[in-house]
Amino acid sequence: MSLYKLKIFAILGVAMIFAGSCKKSYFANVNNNPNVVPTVAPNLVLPSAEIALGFTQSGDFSRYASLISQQTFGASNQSKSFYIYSINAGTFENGWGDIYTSTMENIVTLRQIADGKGFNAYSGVSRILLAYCMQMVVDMWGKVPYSQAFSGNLTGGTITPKFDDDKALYDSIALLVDNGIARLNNAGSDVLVPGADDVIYGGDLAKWAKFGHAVKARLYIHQSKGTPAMASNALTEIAASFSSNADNAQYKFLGDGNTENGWYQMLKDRQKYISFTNSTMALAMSASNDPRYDVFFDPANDASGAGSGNHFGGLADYYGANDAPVEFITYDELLFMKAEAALRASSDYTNAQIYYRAAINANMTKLGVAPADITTYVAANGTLPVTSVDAAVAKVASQEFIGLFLNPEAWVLYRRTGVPALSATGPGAVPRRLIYPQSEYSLNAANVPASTLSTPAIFWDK
Amino acid sequence: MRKHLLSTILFLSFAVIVQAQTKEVTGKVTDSTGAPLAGASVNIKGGRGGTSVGTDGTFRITAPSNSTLVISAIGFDSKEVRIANVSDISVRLMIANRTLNEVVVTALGIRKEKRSLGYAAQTINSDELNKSGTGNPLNELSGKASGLTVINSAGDPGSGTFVLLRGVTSVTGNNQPLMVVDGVPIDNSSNNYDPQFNGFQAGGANADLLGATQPTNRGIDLNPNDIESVTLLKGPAATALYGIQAASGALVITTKKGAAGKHGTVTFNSSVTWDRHSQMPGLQNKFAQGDADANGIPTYQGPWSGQPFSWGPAIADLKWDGSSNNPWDKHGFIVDKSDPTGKTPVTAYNPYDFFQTGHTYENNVAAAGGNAESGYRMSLGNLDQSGIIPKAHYIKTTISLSGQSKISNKLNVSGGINYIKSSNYKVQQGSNTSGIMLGLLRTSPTFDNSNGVSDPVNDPTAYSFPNGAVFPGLPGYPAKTIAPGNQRSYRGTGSYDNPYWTINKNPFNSYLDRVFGYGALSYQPVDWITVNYRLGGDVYTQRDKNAFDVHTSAYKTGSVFLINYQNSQYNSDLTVTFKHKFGEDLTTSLLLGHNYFELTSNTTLTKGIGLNVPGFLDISNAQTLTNTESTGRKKTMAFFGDFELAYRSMLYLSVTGRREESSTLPSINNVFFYPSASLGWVFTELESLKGNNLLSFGKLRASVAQVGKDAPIYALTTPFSSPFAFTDGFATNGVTLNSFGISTNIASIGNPDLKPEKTVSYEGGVDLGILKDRITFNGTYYYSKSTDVILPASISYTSGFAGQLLNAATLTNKGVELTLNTTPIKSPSGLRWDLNFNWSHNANKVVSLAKGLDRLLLAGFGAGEFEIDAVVGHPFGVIYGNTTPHSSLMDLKSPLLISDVPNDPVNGVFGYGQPVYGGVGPNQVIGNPNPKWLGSVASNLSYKGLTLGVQVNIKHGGNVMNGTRGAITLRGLAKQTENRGTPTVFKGLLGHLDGSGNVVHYDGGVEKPGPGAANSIQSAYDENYWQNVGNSVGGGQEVDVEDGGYTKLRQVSLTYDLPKSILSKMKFSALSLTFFANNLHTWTKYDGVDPETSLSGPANAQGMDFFNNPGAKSYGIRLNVGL
Repeated sequence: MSLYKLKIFAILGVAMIFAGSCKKSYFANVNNNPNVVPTVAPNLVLPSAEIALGFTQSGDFSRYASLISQQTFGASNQSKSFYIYSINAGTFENGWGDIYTSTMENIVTLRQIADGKGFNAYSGVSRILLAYCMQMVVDMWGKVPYSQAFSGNLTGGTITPKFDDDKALYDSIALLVDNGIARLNNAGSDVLVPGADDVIYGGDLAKWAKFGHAVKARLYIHQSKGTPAMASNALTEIAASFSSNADNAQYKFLGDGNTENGWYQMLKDRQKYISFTNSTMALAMSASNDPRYDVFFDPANDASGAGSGNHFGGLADYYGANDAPVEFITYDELLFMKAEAALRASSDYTNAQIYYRAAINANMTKLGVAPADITTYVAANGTLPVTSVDAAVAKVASQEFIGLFLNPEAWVLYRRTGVPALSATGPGAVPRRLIYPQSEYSLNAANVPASTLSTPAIFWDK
Repeated sequence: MRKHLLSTILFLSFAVIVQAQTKEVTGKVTDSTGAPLAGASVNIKGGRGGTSVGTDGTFRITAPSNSTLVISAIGFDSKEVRIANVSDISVRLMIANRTLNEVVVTALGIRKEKRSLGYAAQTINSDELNKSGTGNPLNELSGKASGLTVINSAGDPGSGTFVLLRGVTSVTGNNQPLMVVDGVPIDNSSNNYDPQFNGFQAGGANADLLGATQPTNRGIDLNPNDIESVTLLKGPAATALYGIQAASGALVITTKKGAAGKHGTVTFNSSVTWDRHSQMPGLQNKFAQGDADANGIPTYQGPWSGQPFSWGPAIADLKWDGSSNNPWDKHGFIVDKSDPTGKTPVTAYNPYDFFQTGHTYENNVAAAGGNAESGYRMSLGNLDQSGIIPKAHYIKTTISLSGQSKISNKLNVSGGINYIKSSNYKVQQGSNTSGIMLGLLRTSPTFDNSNGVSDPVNDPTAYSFPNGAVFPGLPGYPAKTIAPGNQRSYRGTGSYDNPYWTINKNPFNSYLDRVFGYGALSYQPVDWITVNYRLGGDVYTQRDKNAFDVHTSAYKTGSVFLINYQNSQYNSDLTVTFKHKFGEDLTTSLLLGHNYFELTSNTTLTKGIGLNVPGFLDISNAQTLTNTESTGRKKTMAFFGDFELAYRSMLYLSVTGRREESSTLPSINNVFFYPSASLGWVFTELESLKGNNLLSFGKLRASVAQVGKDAPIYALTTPFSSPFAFTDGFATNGVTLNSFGISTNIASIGNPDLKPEKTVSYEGGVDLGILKDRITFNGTYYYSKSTDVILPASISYTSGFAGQLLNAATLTNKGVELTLNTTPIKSPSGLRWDLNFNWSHNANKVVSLAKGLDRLLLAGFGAGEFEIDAVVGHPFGVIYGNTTPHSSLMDLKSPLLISDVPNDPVNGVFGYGQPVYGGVGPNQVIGNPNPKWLGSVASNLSYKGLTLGVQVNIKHGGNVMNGTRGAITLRGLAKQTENRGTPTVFKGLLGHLDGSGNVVHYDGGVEKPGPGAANSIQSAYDENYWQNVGNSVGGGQEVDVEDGGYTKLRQVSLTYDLPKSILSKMKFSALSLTFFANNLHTWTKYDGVDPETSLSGPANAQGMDFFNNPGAKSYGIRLNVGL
């Protein structure tokens, strides 16, 4: 009897230990998280990436650039500190974090999924988006991580990426656009292509290709000062890019509570931080009776912050409503670039003036200015000086600066052309670059360069 | 066959021979009082057979005529009697000393002689575990052992109890000890919806308030009546055999069993306890709701104004006008006493009238017994507790069954099963607009939350306008009609909920059904091998329902939340033990074992916002529904061994090892090995010391061990997130998407390289028994270093992510534990006095966190405000916040900086001659909740059935952040603001902060660096001072960091046991009556509720008080009957 029991025990014991040794079956899939999806289709990531870009640009990036370029006025708290250049490394944490993580990481993830599945349309779109974002980041900070970035979750990746040279990055971005356009042109029809999930262009791949050329146009025009070849390159890209306001690269927020314009949210939540009508730009537009003044501003609601109709800080509906668009690159900007490029490439004053007038017209038409007002305004402001290229470019830039209202590119324009002439609003000169955020100095100290608001200069800023 | 027959014959004849040399002996066993000692056992020394003593104390046994009988009983010294010349013996057993020869239950339920242990272990027995009448076994442990921290978070029925052995070894992981019942690990989770906030939230319309009641940890489910003993395995050496689960120590709980061979007994316990709230924050009752008007004159502003402050006029200067048209007060409107319409002087209301006397009824009946081979025990317990907060309620019913049987001489089976059913009505606490104390303490003394009705708890007219009401209007406040159903609160119709509204309209019900138990086999094929197998499980469902009726401040349109937690865990242990004796002196044993463990949890949340029909708090009534689900799974498997070597009774060596695998770790790192070695040397066994009466026992012990913890579940991979949301720090909502993406809200990306956390510990100690163990002393010193501690670390955003779990932090703990048990009086007459002391000190240090990280938020309001943090170079869980500028900014002991700016645009024109505004000084460590030491004294005096027990607990040092006082000071409600207007010259040095935040002072109108001369400007304790300097909400936060130390008269009890001589005639085995009191008095400097308080409950972050619910003191009677 007892021997029998002993046998049972022995068998049980051995079986148990044996079963335990088969750890593959014991542990298989136990640690696979059932609460989340390990991978998703590109059409579920694309809207996240696009809206993240829209929010990030209409939030931090627009705020940084517009305060420095005095399109807005920092009235109190952090905005006032920023306005008087009381800026430290901690100031840029959110913008840097949002663009690298929620925006570009999603775009890179989209590219990875699309490339893996051969969804060329998504592959192309992701590259154009990434190129646009990277250019914006380079134009703000110069040397930034790219070649080793976005790899924290990848085998062999790093959480301390090196900072790439900004000039070399421009070349990488151009290549990225070329690759993107090549894939768009080879999108195929039997694979998944973007449609309603593409909240920027609704799946119109031709427009994405134009957007790609617009990004390249910016790359070249930024480097065109004293380099006619770059201006010629820009003209080539512009010719392949937007042909009307309908092509504009922008994201129009839904204003549905989940997706509201970043400016709308900020002005509502942080009342009296920022004033619009006290900005250098608004005061100048008011003085020149610019018909766009009332499209941009609502002076009655500025100082109070009370914001009847939600015009907190005096920003009117076109750019300030909860469903206002955030503009990436627009047709009128391209026409202004075209005028500048014509001047820089071949001192072509005649055509430059034609493009310049078309640019003002496109901008005002987009903003809904009455045709009669446009005509009056162009008659008064539409003539370029022919004394020198620089003088003509300055005139173009003075109008382009208004056209780039709240677009971070306005600050780039100021740095490239010195237009409009701005007085420093704090100690030192008007900032020419941003400081790297404190987190880089803490967490990526071996790679991050030293930086101030003026040094090292962005490579094109000469 | 023939051979077999032969051996049978031989065996029979041998039996006959043995039989021929025996004799029958009868006897009686009594205790020192002469009462029969039923259940004592009588065994033949060195032989087989034995019997037990009957209820009348007599026994009858047949034994070899030259043998010796050993008579023993639990809790008594055993006696040996030679029977060669006697046939009727009478034995009186004396109550045992706290002998160091006792047996303790160690890891895996292995029983070991205490003298053989090479590490510290302390046992608390059943008679000490059911004294308070709260039915919470964890609470009962408080002050009963050294090295043990027990924090009962509040007096709420069903509130959680935080237990910590020695110090913290994990940063964000669980630091509470493993709870093991009869060899099976059981769940001690605190199931709260929002763990990130550790049980409370900052409130507001966007915050779910599900985590905002006092958290409950599931360890309180146990019925203390069923517990025989709790052994505290304090350090890693004691728990190394358990592996990862017990890396923070273990509470090894043994339940009561029915012994084989014992007559059936039935015991019945019944107690009634009356609870009252213990100390409360001091409130002023002299000034009315209101604030200074444009001319600086305090002006009354009633509920219609929404005024949150009580900086109004003196109540003594006010009168009620007696009009019947003030919907907020039946006494009418308040006017100045000079106003001719004034009728009766205003008297202040006492908000603490809200609290009631709580009652707890605890009943337990248990039957135990057995026959020669088997034993059983059945127990049924019921706890019914109503709180000091009206409507708060906790009902717990427990059923437990256990039994064991000797199937053969070689095979034993045993098993036990426990069923627990509880329901808990909880009330909101802390910083949320429904928090009971928040509403109560912020109410002005000129507003009566109860509306003067006789039963405000149940009468809706106290807290709402059931039929609407008309406010006739006052200058500046237009007339209006209040919609029916709106609540009636001191700020009008909401803002903060009227406490009577909260208890009626914001119900939080938590229902639990839980079963845990085990089945075990023990098989001894030969006497040197024992095989044990035990399978245990613990399964429960906790269903929480939290609703907020329409017009609740946080949810104006109402809401219903349903949260379902389903947890199950299974544990299997197989052990084989080999014992061998080499000669007379050397005993060895080897245990080999195998363990499986599996855990599954599933949480579903249904969130319904907006109620169609007010008052119908049902999910079907909600307008929009959101559902979420979360499942967690984990498995571990281990092989382990324990080799022991004992030389004489003097030297004991134990070496253990455990090889464990966990599913939460990556397959390359998921196997880890935990070794331990411990040595005990009973030096009093040396020939030269043996038999010494002064030093009757002495042992030195030392141990070293390494233990660890695995990773959180699902921490290796990076998931996509949906909904996907982020904000930029300026826009509150940001964007939320219902498609998928990588979000900055994902606190950490997966880390496929995680390793187990590792703690190496060294421990040394001495155990002494003096004067035949009349005095016993245990002293232990330990040092432990925890490395590779997992924490969510920030990483460069350019990696694409915000954070990652890293094996990064290092923590150390070192400490001393002392236990001194004495028996100053022990007389043959039965007078006995025991006096026991426990003392412990633990010093914890956060050595490092992660690269680039010197501070990590554990809990609090964040952004440098009122936080509990891990800060490098400081003890774990310090209080961190901004400060009032001192003359030396980082030195809070330096004199205050007194503003020398007469018209400072920043500091205000009122601040001249007052300390510079608080909250603008540097953020820094401002307090440390960890006590300097913990101590307790327990005295037990007994004489002829009367026993007087007294226990005093002392917590020396340890700060509490009294955010409550800060918030009510700001609003002019704290007692300390009653001195408003009193002139004073604030002590400090003159100066101010310049634009860069540096200390400067004026010298002839010119700013000079550093502070200036001592202040002599006449100022006053005015509203400006109290709002901007004198409180931690509007000013520097260090002003409300208080010493949370206390001396507490924890327990006093007087028991009368009827003498056994009487009982035996009444056929009772026991009958006693106990009067007891808990938390009778607390001596403390703390200016709030009971300093033994915790906003976050059983969580790592302790030391926060922000409108915590109060503690309770209680008085009770218990009847104990044994049949």
